[in-house]
Amino acid sequence: MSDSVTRETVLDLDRDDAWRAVTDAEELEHWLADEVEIDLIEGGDLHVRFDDGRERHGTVEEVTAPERVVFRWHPVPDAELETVVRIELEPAEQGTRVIVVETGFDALPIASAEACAALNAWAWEARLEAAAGPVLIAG
Amino acid sequence: MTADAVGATFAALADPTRRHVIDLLTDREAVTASELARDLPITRQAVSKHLATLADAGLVTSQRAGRETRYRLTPAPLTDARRWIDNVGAEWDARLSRLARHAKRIP
Repeated sequence: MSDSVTRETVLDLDRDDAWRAVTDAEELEHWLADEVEIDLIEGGDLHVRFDDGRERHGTVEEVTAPERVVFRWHPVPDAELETVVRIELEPAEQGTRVIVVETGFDALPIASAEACAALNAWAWEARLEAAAGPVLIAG
Repeated sequence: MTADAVGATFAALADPTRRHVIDLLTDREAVTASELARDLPITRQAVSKHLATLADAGLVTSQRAGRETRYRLTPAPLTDARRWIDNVGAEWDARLSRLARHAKRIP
């Protein structure tokens, strides 16, 4: 598992329109989540609700129009765990490039040494059982 | 697996003592709370509480044998939580392709 996930796309929009598309609540409701509330200032609240009813709360960290917006949010409910999402806009030949980087996965407890050791041990056991299977059948 | 179940797994793992318990259970077959308490700086009662939280998250199962209860690690929720994290990239792919489609409709 890596600490960050990076994805990008190029929009057929100039940077100001692209900025609106990634920061305006109504625009965000077309692609990020079903319902979006965002207070577009540093420290502002972010609240999204996905179509399956899941909700996420977050905080806006940085607003540098029309280049970069950064927010933190909680990837799972009922846990004091957060990841950081950075959305960058760059001029591209055919419009504006949108680069999304979500980081912080290494700090999640599923990446802890103990969880990894347990997962590895289990994977080994499963592999040994799988290896033992055909031998037993053949015998 | 639902996000709530993943949340329960994460919450169970967030505590360093519970991660220590998981570590101890990784190397052993099935142990009692007293056996675990010998290797931890906490009481058997505190160990039992942590085991109950781990059991609620599906990370531990217990079995009574005579007068003692033995606990063993059931790591399936770890695999599910890991898979859920691995899916983050696919979620962004889906969101960005929706964004690109939406951008085409903006005059």
